[in-house]
Amino acid sequence: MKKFFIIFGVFASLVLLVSCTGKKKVTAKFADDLVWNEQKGEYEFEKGAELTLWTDNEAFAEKVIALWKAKYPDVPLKWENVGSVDVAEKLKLDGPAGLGGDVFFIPHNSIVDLREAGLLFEFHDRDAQYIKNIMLESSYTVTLYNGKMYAAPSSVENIALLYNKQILEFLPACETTHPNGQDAENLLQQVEGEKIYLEDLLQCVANRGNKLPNDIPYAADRFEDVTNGVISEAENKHTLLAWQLYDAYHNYPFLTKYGYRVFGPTNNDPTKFNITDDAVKRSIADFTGTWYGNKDGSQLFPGLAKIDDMGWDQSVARFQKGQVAMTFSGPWAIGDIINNYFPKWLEEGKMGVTENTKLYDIFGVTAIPKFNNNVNPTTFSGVQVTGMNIYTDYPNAAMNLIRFLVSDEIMREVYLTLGKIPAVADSSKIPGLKDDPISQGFLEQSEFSHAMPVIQEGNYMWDPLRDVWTYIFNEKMTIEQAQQKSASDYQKKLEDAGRN
Amino acid sequence: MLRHLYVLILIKHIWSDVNMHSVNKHKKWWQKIIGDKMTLSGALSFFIMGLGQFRNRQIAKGLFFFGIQFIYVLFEIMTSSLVSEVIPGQPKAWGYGFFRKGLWGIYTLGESTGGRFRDNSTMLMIEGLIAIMLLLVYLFFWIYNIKDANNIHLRYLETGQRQTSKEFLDELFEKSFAYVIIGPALILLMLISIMPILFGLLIAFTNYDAYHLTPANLLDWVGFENFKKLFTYTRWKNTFIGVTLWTVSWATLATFTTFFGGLFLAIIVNNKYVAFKRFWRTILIIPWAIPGMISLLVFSNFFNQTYGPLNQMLGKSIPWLNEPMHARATLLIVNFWLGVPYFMMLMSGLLTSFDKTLYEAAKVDGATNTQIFWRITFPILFTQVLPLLVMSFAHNFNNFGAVFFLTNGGPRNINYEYAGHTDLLISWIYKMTVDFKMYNMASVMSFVIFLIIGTISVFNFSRTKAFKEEF
Repeated sequence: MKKFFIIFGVFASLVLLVSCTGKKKVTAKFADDLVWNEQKGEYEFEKGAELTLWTDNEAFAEKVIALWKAKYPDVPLKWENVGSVDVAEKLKLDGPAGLGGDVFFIPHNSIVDLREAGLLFEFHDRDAQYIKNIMLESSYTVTLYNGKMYAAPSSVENIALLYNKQILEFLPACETTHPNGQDAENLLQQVEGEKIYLEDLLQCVANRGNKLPNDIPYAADRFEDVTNGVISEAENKHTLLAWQLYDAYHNYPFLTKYGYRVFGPTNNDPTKFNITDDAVKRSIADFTGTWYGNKDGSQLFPGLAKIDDMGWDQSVARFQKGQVAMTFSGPWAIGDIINNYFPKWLEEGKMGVTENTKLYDIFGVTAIPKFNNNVNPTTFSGVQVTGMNIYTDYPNAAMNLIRFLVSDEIMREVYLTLGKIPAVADSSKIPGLKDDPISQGFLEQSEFSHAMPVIQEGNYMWDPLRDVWTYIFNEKMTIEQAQQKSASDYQKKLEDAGRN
Repeated sequence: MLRHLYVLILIKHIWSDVNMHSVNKHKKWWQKIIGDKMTLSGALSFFIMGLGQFRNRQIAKGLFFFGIQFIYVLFEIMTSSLVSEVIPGQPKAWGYGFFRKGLWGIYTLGESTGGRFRDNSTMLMIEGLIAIMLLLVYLFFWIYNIKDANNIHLRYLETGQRQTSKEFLDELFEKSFAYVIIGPALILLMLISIMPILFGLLIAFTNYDAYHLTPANLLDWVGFENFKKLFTYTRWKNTFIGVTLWTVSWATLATFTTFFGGLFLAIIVNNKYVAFKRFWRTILIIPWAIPGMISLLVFSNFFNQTYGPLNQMLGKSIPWLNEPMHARATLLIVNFWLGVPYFMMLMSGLLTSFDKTLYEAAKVDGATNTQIFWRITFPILFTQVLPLLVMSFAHNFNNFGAVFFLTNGGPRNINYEYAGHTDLLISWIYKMTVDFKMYNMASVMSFVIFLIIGTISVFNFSRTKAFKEEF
């Protein structure tokens, strides 16, 4: 009987304890409740504020924490490893439960997702103005919706033409109608000096069967099977130019020759998907020319059975190993080379790499060559942004953290530690950026980059944009048929997703 | 006066006597729940739990039941606006106690939006489910309280004896020990396991999709709208039927190929003429030892039509993963490679446990090897392995990894809604939720999968010996 009462008593007191803790004091609901301290130029920290940062790079996080501690020693900051693409889904569940990070890094196309779900804190005009003054315009336009800012830009990235200097130097110049391209000695001068048109480059690659000649420098270092100085058939496939074909993001530039922009000139008008435009048709026709073909026989990709076959492993990974001469990719491809392949080559004495060789002696980055109507191809740019959780307990402290993350010292770390291009308007503030040819190459193309759409329909455009190419290559449709089918796919997706 | 009273008591005794003779079989349904007859004790317990027990002179039990009611009411009051903090301007319903808010929430799914300080439909649904579950527990105790009050009182009328609380407790621990011990675990299970499942099921009856994300939007109950969509819209219907047919045939084929493959290998390795048995077994189990995800990713490159080493070795261009039928065959082959070691080890173990005398007797009778296999080995093996086969079927039915990492749903099917030729129901659901955020349709699909697998599993287990012996 005594045991019984004890158990009962414990149960009762537990329940009472739980219900008595009550709700935490809530300090701010919306931007109006932030408390600004004009003298210090920051927000008033809440008492006992503690912050959590969600990011996915350990070295960067440690640096941020160290710098934050130096500036605000009273406010503990810790970080959790959450991949930036995973934050959206995680936050939808953790946020309302009170477990979400206060500030997090996300790619800018997650902004639309989280904003629609109502999880992003709307910035005060004061902060929005501050950010607009110091950041690149193309980077902060994606964070705006109806004139209000929902996130702060951190770094920008876009794709460009990556090329292997050692190989290109060896290859003879291509025929081109470009006025300056006639007197180039080799392909490297044409590509680096922007003396060749994109169509001519492709035609040239197609004429050469998209293969490397057997006597390129360091052939034995590049390929596994080089017998008698002859590179094996199996490996010498599509080695002049290869990129991720089964991907809308990488193939978007080739639709833009005559001015097509998905969702209108601002990339944010849901009524203007317009894949059936004449501009698109002519652009594809010029780009595919006589050389793109279809699965029955392509001059550009001889032996390619289906577009799906050419993925990362077959194109960019081979470029990183030095097997492919040119590819269209982004800064992420370079990171791997720095971490994996370059040290290995140095160690094993391959590719002529010595102590003094720099990365940019072997690899180069430049803007994608112009079309033959002197128009630069438009690529998508991606912006990494930092957002604030609307379920945070310390909005003032979190806002200060966001302001801190866009400050100069952190932007410098973004470049030095993360290797990404900071989104600052004035890149001379970042030491080393001006002298880095690889980053400069990406920056060249970034002038012609538009941010990915930040509307809900942006999630549904990828498959139709990719399928235009699949229908042409795999299903052997004509360009118009492919366009029509893509447009109807897009409509079906919208209906099914709940847009009525 | 006294004579009248005496007659009344006599009648009452006869009445209860008669009632006691009407054995359990003739009890009405309500009698089974609240006891043979509603007595004053029961009526008292109806309103305040434990009062009836006090009347029955069972103080401790009365306190127990009263305590439960007290806790629930206290909880409700402490979480309501009478005691808890109130945020100025909050919706009226936020001031209700936990249970009332839960019921309100699950009925209306919220009435105002605004992020943190307004209604969040999914949170309301979860809290509502928890409230309902706790109320069910309360209901159980309440009914038990009434029944107990009635029964004890009737027993007193019959036997004139009153059982003390202690004696009652002893009797309870003796007769229904199992139920008492499992009780707390059951409650916990209900909150941790069953509540999420019900939540997932309830989503199927709402309009939770990409254009209705919480907390910026409120959800609405749409009834059977989604089910109707799945079964009547032509595109959805075709996709659903196609994918289901493939899933069922895939599960059957995968299970049987791996089973017979494993059996075959086990018999060969077990044969008395084979040397270095351990060596062969070690090699054959390696596919199972390597993480499946990695093997599958490597295989997807291996079978690449243009660049894959296999096509280069063969010198042909076979569309292993690019044509529908080829992709399905390749998937089965790769799954065979991955799954055979499991069955091989299983069969090896079973085979070695066989009674050797059977074989000797068969040999004496002049049976050939084939006859021995099909008439002795196989039948015994099969009955023992059948439950495992069914479990393997269920596992393959939901074998997300194999499909996702090898083909990602396989060659595209233009006629399907977001599904490819090798998509299973489960990978189709994954695409719908992660890529397109169609949570409500995915929930409908999950429910269908649950029905199929659940039926098979229940059918299977009800036929196993263990189940039959128990019941």
